[in-house]
Amino acid sequence: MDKKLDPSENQLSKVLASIREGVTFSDQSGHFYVYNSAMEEITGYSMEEANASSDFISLLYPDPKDRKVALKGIDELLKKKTSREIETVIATKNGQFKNVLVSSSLIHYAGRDLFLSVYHDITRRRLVENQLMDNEWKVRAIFDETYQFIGLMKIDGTLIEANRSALEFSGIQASSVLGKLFWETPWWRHSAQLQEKVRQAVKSAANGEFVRFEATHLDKDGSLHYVDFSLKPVKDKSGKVVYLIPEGRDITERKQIEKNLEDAYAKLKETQGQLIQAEKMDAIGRLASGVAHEVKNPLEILLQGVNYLEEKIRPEEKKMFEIVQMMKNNIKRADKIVRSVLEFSRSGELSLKTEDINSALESALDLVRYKVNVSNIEIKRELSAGLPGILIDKNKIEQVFVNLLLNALESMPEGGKLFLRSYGLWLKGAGGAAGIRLTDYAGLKNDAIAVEIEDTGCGIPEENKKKLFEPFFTTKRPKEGTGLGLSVSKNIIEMHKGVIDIESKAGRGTKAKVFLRIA
Amino acid sequence: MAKKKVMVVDDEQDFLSIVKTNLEETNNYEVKTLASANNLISEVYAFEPDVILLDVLMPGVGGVEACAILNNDPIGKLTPIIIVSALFKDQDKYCAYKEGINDYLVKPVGKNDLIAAIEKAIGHQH
Repeated sequence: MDKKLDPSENQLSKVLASIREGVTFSDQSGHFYVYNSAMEEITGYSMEEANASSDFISLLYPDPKDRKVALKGIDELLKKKTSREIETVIATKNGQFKNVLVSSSLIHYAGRDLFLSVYHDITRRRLVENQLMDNEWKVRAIFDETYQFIGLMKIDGTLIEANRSALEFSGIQASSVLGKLFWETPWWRHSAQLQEKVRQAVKSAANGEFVRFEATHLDKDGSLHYVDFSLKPVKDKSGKVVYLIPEGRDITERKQIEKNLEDAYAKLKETQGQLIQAEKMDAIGRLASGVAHEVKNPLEILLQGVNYLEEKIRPEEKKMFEIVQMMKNNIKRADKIVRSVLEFSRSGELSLKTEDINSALESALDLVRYKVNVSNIEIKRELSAGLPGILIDKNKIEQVFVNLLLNALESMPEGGKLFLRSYGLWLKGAGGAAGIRLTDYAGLKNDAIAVEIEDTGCGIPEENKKKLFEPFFTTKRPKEGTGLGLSVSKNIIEMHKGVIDIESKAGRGTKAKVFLRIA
Repeated sequence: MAKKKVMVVDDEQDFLSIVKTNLEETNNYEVKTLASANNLISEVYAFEPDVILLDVLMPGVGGVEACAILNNDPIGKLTPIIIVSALFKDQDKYCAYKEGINDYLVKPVGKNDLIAAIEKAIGHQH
């Protein structure tokens, strides 16, 4: 077989050498007759190397898939005798892979079917295209996957893009919002007021303003979320507003945290207030009893002294007798002043009304009901009916009962019994009547009402009993107790001129008693 | 008639001296004064009082604590106790009564009221 082609081939070779595409003429056996320099550049193989190879197709297409496509192309060319173009990947001599566009046609030349193939190296183009696609994909991913709600609209408010977060949040389809006026989309449908606000915002943003406000959206389950909404104008090179970007950030959680913070702050303020109150009452109490002690003691000495003197007065010394009587009266007067100053300073903060003690106890129980319900607590009421009304500050007395109830409930984490008792104490004439010791006596000369709150909880260890009413004494963990409950309670009861007492046996339970005078 | 023995415990020297004078002037009482309750039991054993007058707020052992100490002693618990204190709140009285006392007088208490309380406490003992 004549391997040399027509002499005019030399002319052709020159032409072929000058073009940038790889051009080959080959026969069915894979032998190349023409193999231009561009083809050498693309594949890295010279014509000699190509022809010397027994299986150049496998060299060029190491991947069986690519090889199969190439072989199929050759086959089809032979059958249909038409030209064909495929995009494929070839391996170069130095192991690089290149994207090539191969156009092949069957040419009858010198009595033979020859393949004319043109290899166009599109590796660079593909790379750029891939990068572009990659960038587009990244932007789209950011747009769609960001936690924020983002869209794009024309300056008249027609929505042209909405990201997936925004759509999925409210469970709506893109088709139902794209092309619609933004303020008429379902995101704003729950509030006519917001719709109007958005309409105005679009107008402002179209004029180049950045708009931002707090809004609300309903999620797909219909619950209300708080959204930090903004509308930003996008300008072209000349500064003209061409698009608007609406953005929304769900701030419900942040609002919740803010609310929790506010609640915690309010609680802190309340505790602080309680603290200041306790401190103030404690200071007043200390000052007043200090004054009482400091004044009453000298008054006692004066009175005893005056008593001594009055017995020394002879009957005819009338003036002296008068003066001594005057001294006695004024000692009593001074005593009354000390008492009333103390009583006034303490009771000034009370708002007294005649109340039913049982109902005060029940109201307090209602306030701690949530704790009774979660623990396994059995409430035993032993409340006397028909007790007379007593003059108390109901809110303050309730506060005392709540403190005592909470202590009782917290001592019974595993459950137990809570006894609530009320009864009258009729003590008239009992004071000091017996020559033997009077114990367990309320010390109240007037009739009083007693309230008892008794639990079957852990009780109070002996070493803690003396500290019960001390401010800041607590056995609870830092966040659970301030150590002011009983201290404040004692102050409140003393303001009512009442008595509070706590009896306890470690491991058996605690009984808190409150005695209040009947008005 | 034998004089009744009265023990007076108070940290006010002037109070001790005027009460001693007033009670002893009646010729019915022999008075022993103590400026503190710190060694009360041994003083009680030495003097064997018929009644003890106790202040509440005192340095060292206070009046209420002194009641508890007396009530834990076989002789002490048989001796009547009268609290004579400037403290007048029901809460203060309750605390004293809870330990076990015979009477509670709030200062200023005159000579006659004091004697009446002493007689009542002693008289009812027998």
